[in-house]
Amino acid sequence: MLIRSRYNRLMLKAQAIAMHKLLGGLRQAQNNRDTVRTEQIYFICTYSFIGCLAFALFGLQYLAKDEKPLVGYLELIFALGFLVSGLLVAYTRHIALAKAVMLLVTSSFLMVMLVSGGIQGTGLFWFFVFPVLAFFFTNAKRGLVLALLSVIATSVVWALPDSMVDLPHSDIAIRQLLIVYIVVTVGVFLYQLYRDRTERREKAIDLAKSEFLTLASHQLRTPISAIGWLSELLLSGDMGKLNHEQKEHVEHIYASNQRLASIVDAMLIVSGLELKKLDMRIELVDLVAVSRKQLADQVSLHSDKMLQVSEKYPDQLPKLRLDPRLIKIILQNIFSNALKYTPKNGEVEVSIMQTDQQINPKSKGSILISVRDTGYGISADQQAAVFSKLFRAENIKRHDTDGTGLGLYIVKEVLDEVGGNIWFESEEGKGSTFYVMLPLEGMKRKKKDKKG
Amino acid sequence: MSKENPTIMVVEDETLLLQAITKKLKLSGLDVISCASGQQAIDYLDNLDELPDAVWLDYYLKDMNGLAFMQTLKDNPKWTAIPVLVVSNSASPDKVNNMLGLGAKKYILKAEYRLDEIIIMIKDFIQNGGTNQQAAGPTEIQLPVENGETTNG
Repeated sequence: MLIRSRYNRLMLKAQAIAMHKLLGGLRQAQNNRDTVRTEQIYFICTYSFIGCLAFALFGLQYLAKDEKPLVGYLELIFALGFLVSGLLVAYTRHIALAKAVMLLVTSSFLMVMLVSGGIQGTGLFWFFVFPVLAFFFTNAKRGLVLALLSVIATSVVWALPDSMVDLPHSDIAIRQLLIVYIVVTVGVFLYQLYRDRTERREKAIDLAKSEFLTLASHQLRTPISAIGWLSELLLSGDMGKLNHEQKEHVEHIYASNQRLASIVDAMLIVSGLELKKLDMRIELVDLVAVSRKQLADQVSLHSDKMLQVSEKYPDQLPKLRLDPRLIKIILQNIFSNALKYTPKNGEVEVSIMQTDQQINPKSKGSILISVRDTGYGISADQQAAVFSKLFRAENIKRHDTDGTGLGLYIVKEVLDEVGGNIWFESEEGKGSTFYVMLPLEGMKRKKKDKKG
Repeated sequence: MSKENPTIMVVEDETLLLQAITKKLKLSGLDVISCASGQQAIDYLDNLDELPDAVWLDYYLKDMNGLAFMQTLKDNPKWTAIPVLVVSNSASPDKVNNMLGLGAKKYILKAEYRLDEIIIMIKDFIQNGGTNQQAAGPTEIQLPVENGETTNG
């Protein structure tokens, strides 16, 4: 018995740590991915514009000198190529396309330069940039192949008899070039190997997170359903009548299990939100009916407090396009907070109304849900933190130790995700009013500002 | 020809849940065929004189997953008309869409409902299922509208 409870405690602890790590890792992975992307965009833009400028200048110089007009025109064409790839990535943020264009421009330029002369001075710079670019744009293996291909191409051109290609460079210059080229290639290859490994690890973490979500939702919920349903059977009297004490115990089992279920749900939603995988299924929902049911459920949990609970609903409210699960979570949390943090004999008033106020320019109107209570309220200095994760106000920690500090965080994040809004007014010792606003058209997944 | 009680086949591999579901369904006036695996359910269907009015299907089964089971039902013309209701604890949008795409009529997340709530849904479902059972073809289930960014992970 002792061993088992210790085991359970250990398991719980391990799970808590895993969860914490997971949530931290999620955010980090997201940030890293964004950073890599921004870095690439920045790099490609800068590189192309410098390239464009340099080539344009040299090209014009050649043309002005009237020495080798062909080289001048070629350089102007390359300048154009760089400009196009720079603009492509700046405006479309389409990295793959820009990468392809730039690799093509740079590598053909190298070959032209090798045959036509001009690896001295600025020409050298472009040569060494090539392996760096090849690795930067592709992964380590492909970068190596590209860099080696250009070494081979250079060597082949060099090895061709003079009657075929008359290279303007001395053998020593080309040998030096090849050696430096190979040194740069190896260096960048090692760096890129390291970089690829990091990227792979991030991908693996991402996948593990998704799998964890699926597994957790199934593995955690299955025993919860069994406990819930079996206690439900006992409570309904279907299995014979329970005596008073038995009934009370089973009720406690049932209530604790409900609490566990909502914690699991909260954790899954938080992970879903942070993974950007919030699952949304829109149906036509009778908001008033849902509100009535959720309020009644929550009130029954606080029946000992003799609260005066009132509800005010519009006579006619069309069915709204909502995700039933998400709206349930939103209402459950704001109702439960109002009831939990209002002392005995207090008042709680729930109202839903339709307003013309627009939540966004396209909206035809809004649904405003408000929950007013005469509870403990939130002190002015803590009001800014109310929607942050794991936040619990100082004055309520004294009254209730159970909360997870996830409720309002989830509500806020979910509402942000579906195009809604939440705000509140509160005075410590007097009470709070929370307002939730949803567009009349219903929930809609927020448009991502860029493609993933 | 009509029976007294509608019959429902329950396919659920968690024995505890299967027992609870079976008991509650019986108490609610339904005839129940309990199956602890997908294969068992298919064997029953093969040998039954009269097909059940509905199937309660868990997504994860020990021997096959819900998709494979649905596919088997779909492939046998005798069985395509049986309305299937998926009651599971894993509801990723992909899974839901796949199951509905294969002809499941409804997808319920176990942990979100009390057993008696699910049973009310099932009774409604059997009543309505009887009327729009003509379909072996596409069903009129509304697919979830959103989900622009399905991830391929």
